[in-house]
Amino acid sequence: MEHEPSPVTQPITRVGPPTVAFHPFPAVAPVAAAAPDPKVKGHRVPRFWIWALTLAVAATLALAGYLLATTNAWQHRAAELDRASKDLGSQLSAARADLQASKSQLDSVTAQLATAQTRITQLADEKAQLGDDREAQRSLADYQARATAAAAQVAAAMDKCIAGQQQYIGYLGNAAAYNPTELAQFGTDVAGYCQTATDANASLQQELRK
Amino acid sequence: MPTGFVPTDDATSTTSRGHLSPDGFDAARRIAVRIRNVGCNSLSTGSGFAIDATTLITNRHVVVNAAAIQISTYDGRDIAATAASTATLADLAIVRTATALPAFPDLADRDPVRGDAISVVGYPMGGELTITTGRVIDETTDPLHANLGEVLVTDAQVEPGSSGSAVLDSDGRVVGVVYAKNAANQSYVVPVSTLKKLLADTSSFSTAPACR
Repeated sequence: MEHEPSPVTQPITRVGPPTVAFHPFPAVAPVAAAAPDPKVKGHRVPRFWIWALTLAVAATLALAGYLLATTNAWQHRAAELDRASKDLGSQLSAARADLQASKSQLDSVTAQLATAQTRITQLADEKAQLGDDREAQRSLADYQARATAAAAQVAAAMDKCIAGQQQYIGYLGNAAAYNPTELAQFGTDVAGYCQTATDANASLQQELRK
Repeated sequence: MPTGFVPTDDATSTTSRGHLSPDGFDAARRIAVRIRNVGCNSLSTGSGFAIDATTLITNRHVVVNAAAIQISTYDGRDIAATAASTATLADLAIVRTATALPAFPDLADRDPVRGDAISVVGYPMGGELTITTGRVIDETTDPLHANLGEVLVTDAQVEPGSSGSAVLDSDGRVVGVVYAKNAANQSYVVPVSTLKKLLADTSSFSTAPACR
């Protein structure tokens, strides 16, 4: 340690053993500057720097150890993250595939629903139209039943009218045998009844023409 | 291992149920009913819509002079009518049903104004359930003198048989009732304010006259 160079602020001084001077020339008095400086007994590094350097080396070694351990830990974590990211990537890929399949199914179901709705609406309309037809037919049947009943009544009235007229004609053929006043009244009654029957028939015919 | 980077909240659904029912029909269709007026010597059809579980609204001229009122829903189910009442101051009628109607909407708080988008849901020509759209284009006094106060004019196309159709706003609320159309294919609508006013006064309705 004593041979370590001193700080640059110190003059450089050789401190090794003296060498034998060999000079081909006559000896001369040694140069005064070459003589050892009595003031410089040994260039010693301050203890402080020794300790500092020791501490620095120790700290460096500790830091290196720590960094090595940390690096190993990070490598381990990086490997885990890499595996996790690959796993997540696989899951994401599967999820995307599932999503795409679900979207396709949803589109298909949506189309089927729209078709079903359209068909339901059509069926509801067809049922309503059948209902309208049913009610129209029922109304027509009711009307025809009423017309038939009215026609039967008119026919019966006309028959009764004809019978009355025939009876009246018979009475007229033997008028002397009857009271003239009663005979005339009978004729009036028959005519009135026939007029009523004729009016009913006309009304029926008019109704049927509608 | 970090575990917090995976979001725990459920993803927001990209589909909305909206007004969909379990069978997929929207509320606008589910509130609509087809009304068949079986008269003594006539048969006619009209439209209507539910306002609660057993009450529906239609036009007066749809249910008067009936021997029987027959109601069917959007999916073809028959609903028995128990009574029909008509308003004297507007072309409106109330029909009560024996069983529950599929759905009923809210009545809007205010009448629509010129430019508002509307939808009409009903059975034009007694045919399929149909939704037509349009806008309110005017307000006027009733050209048929059947309604007190002003009525709305829209450009939504309607046909005979659409009478009694619900007029809905963009939120699906009832804003009026179709009762007539003109030669320019414009429809006339009783505004919801008139409907609510009459519904609030029970004396404004009387038993619908039946045919003889």
